[in-house]
Amino acid sequence: MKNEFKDQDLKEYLDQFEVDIPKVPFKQKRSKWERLIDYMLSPAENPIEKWVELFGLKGYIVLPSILILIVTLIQAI
Amino acid sequence: MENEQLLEAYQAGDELAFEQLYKELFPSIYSFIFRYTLDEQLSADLAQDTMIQLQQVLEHFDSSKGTVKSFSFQIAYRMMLNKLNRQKKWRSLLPFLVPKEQFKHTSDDKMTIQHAIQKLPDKQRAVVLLAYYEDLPQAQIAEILQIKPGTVKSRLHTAMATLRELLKEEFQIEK
Repeated sequence: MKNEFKDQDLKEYLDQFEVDIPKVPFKQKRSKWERLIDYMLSPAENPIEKWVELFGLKGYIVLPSILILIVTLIQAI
Repeated sequence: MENEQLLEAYQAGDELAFEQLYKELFPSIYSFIFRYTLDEQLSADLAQDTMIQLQQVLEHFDSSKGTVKSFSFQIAYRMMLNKLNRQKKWRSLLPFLVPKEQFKHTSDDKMTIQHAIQKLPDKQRAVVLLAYYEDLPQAQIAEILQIKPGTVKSRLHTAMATLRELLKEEFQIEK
């Protein structure tokens, strides 16, 4: 269906999206441990980063303070 | 050898034929999932899982019902949607599990098209990826996505219009 794409500009942009294929040998089965380790090692977002963007360096204090406050409240109840 | 010939060889007991089939199919399945999710680890895992599942059912696969490629994409697409739905549920419970966006080592143009494709609604994104990058015929895309062939065409046209709209500014800058 590639011939449906007649817009040359759009095609040029789409062609830019190349993918590097990793060399992954075929394995019959991957253990749950292997999957868990891969998952744990995959990059995750730092939850404090958004707060730092909002509050500047104070973000490093604001979020932990809220968490401490919540934990304190839970303990108080 | 064509995929269908490899299938016949595998069904006749040639184990090496499946390894060859893996080499043929893994890159396109990986690319499809990566372009859809932008997640390298997830794409590698799902592409592998697809091939494992494919191997399990291939012995009884009836080639008159479709091509091996579209059948493997059907498995990959279903697995990917299940995985993404499960991730969405987990992330609603544990929001810090959000993976880092992987718009990396890319040129500006590549980043622009990655962003634009990510902004497409899920259903339109799948159609664009299968139509443009895999160059699959309408009937096979319909088979993979389990929709009517007419829906494929209308989704593709809507997706192209959305992409043109998203990239409008970039086109103007270039001119």
